[in-house]
Amino acid sequence: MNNLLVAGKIVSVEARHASVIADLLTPKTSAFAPQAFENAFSVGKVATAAQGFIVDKLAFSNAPTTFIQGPNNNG
Amino acid sequence: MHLTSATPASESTIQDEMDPAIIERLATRHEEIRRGASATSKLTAALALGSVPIALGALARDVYGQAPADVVDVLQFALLLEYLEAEFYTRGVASSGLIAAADMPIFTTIRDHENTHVMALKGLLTGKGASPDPKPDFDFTAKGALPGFTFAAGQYQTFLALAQAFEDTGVRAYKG
Repeated sequence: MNNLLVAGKIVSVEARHASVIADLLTPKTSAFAPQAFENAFSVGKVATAAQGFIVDKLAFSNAPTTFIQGPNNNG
Repeated sequence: MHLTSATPASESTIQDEMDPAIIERLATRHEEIRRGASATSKLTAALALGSVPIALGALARDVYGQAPADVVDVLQFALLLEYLEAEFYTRGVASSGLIAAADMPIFTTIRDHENTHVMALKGLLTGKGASPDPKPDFDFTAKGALPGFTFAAGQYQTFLALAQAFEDTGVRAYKG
């Protein structure tokens, strides 16, 4: 499989996970999908947040620094 | 994208690197999770985790050739995030009395998916001639932002709040 195909196959399942968990927290509301376009963050911002859960320090020297523009782009 | 060896990151460094606008957005988001997690600014920062789909977005960009990224680095980062999720659910499912019994099938399913994602990403990396990074050590208290969180019985709401942080495909701009 090419990279994009793998990404799409993983992303769609992760979105199902997000949906069911949101519904456990706030049942039968719009929380399962609060908007039509998902937000997007840059890898750098995600990595910064992920660092909070990782004991060793991440090094980001080769991380992409720009990101596709689109609806709800917050990166 | 690599782990540097045994150099704990300070929380202040994490905070300094956060965009203030993101912190503000998370503060709103934090209201949404107040039922489950104790309120600290460090927690709101920690919950900025946008998760795997964001990293994978860079793969799509690479495919389109708009700004060639190091695909191996992106895959390693996606693997890191899948490790994080896989360990989180594995520990949660294994903890007696944490997850409500009626909800258990949901979380065993998610756990299995995350482990499968780990294997798939490892396979992609190996296929590109790279060695998958090993699983790092995780701190699910978010370095003290969730003091006392140990996957123990009675901590289900905190577990759910963390699960939401890990699964969301981005930080949502909740309209206060």
